[in-house]
Amino acid sequence: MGEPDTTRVKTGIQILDERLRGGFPRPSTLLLFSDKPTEKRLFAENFAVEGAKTGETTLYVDFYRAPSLARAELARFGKFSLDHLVIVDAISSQLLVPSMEKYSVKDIGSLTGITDVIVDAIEAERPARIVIDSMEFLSDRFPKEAVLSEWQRIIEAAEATQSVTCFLFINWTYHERDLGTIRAMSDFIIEFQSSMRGGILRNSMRISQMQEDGIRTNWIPYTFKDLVGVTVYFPRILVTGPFNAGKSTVVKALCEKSISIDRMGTTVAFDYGSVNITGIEAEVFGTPGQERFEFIFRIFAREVSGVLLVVDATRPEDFERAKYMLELIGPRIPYVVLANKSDLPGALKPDVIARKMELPDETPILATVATANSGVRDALLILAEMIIGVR
Amino acid sequence: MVDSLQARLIGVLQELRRIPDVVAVALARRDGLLIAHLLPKSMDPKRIAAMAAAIVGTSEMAAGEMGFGPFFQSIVDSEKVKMLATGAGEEGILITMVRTDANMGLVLLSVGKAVQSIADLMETAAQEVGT
Amino acid sequence: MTDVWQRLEAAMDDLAHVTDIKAAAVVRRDGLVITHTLPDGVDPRIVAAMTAAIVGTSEMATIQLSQGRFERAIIESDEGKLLSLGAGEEALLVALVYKDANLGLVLMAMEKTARLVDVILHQEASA
Repeated sequence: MGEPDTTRVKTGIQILDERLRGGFPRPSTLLLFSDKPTEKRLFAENFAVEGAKTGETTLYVDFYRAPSLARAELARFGKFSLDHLVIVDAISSQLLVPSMEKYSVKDIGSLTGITDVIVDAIEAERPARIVIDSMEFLSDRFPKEAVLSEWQRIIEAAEATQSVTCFLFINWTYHERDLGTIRAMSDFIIEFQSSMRGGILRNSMRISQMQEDGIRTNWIPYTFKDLVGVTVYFPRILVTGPFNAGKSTVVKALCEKSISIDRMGTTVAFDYGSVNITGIEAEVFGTPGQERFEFIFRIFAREVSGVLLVVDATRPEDFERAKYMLELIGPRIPYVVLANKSDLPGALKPDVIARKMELPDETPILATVATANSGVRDALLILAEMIIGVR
Repeated sequence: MVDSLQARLIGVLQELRRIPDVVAVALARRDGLLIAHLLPKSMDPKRIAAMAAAIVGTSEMAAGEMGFGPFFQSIVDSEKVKMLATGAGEEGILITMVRTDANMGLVLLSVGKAVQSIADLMETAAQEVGT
Repeated sequence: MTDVWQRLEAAMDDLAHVTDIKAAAVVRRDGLVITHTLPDGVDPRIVAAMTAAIVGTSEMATIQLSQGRFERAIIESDEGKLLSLGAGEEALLVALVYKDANLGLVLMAMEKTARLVDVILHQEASA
């Protein structure tokens, strides 16, 4: 494995860390931004614990929770040594109780006093990661110009110690111009949104790097798994394609445990399984290929994260049908084509199939042998990268 | 050979349809293909066959997942009609439409008989063909 | 938004108190879990997908037959039954009941719960 890279800090989300070439570079300023408080805090907590898990020092400035409560809640993200987590207590002074922490704000009414404590802690602990939870506590209480000035002061202190700092912020009161100023002070902006769709809450985040040719992801769906933390999550990967292309076999190959409702050699309802690939959780759904079961599509194809389109590489006569099935899915869903049974005699090569199917130029198409679990995981990984927008 | 099997299967269906509360009947293969039917023109027999296969296949899996023992029958209630789907031998699914206010005791008895006859007929035919 | 779950869970708790009902679930019509009281050892995601398949297909079959509105689907096994019905535009309600259950009572309770789920989800959607 080699020496751990100390010039970058990992998010713990493998696919993101890969795209970031190991993690956020030290130093960096991250702006965590959303309309509602809960989502960005989850990411920040995950980020803090990730550091502590790997033995890095994390400084957590908490304006809302007692340190003991913060520690208890952070424990849900996994096991770590409490020594690596340094909490700056900004609540005890609000409650007029004495603090037990090494660093605590004495006078919550003094903005510069608050920043002094934070800067002192940064200089003394030299943390790899810093979380400020959160800046709107200050923007709610102090004049805007002063807050922006102290914000910059913290950034400078963090840069001197090569720290990666997460500033949490909800925008309720600042105008676009000020938001522009804050964005300009940041290296990365991570936005969060959540929506309720038919009784199910969906969370997603998007990462943008401020520098011109920097990374920009799509909205990445995620969920929280107890003791694991923030996990990228695809609620439905659809595996579809013409009859007998090998869809059920693909589902079985991808998922450790799967079910298949099939009779006399054909799927009559669906296949279902779940898979964890490079830390991404995905639920995989296979549809029947026979035309008489097309109604199954209309039931299940509502919230599709991405599609694996499986075709039999030895049967070009079925390509028309495969294209039709893509139309059933709709235009905006990312997909990867699997040229399956590519081990059989007469199997067409992927580029030939791409031409015959008139696939758009950048469509990924792989030769696979689902029965030997060859190429199938690669296809899913490529699809995952397309969904996230790191490809 | 096949013709006579088809004729006999239709015979079973006709007998079932004679029960006053039975509106229509059909026989499908478990993979959703149609074998025989006595459905009015307004109902598409091929679609009904496929849908019954999806329902029965899923129900059998559900029964297993739930630990409720082997699946026996599915009933879809709609305003005017009940659609029953019952396994008939290893390969068949008998679909029976009955009026909502049907005498279910008699219906179920007759369906049970029909299913048995169909299973026997299909079993015999399979043996004759040597499958 | 957490309020939605509390209300849904409360509705499910009430349903679980009906003697003949062993377990129940509210699932989205496309087969994803919303909430459930299924026992350990039963994968709620599989139950959700199967319920969606059964009800979705049954509804289409009912349309095919032109015999009025779909009301419910009942899956009968040796030792129990699976009952499922719609709970508004977005959701379905499914219950596992014991073999000799009083279906009349169970269905009444389920229909009441289904209407409640519909209201809860509607209010959330328009919030």
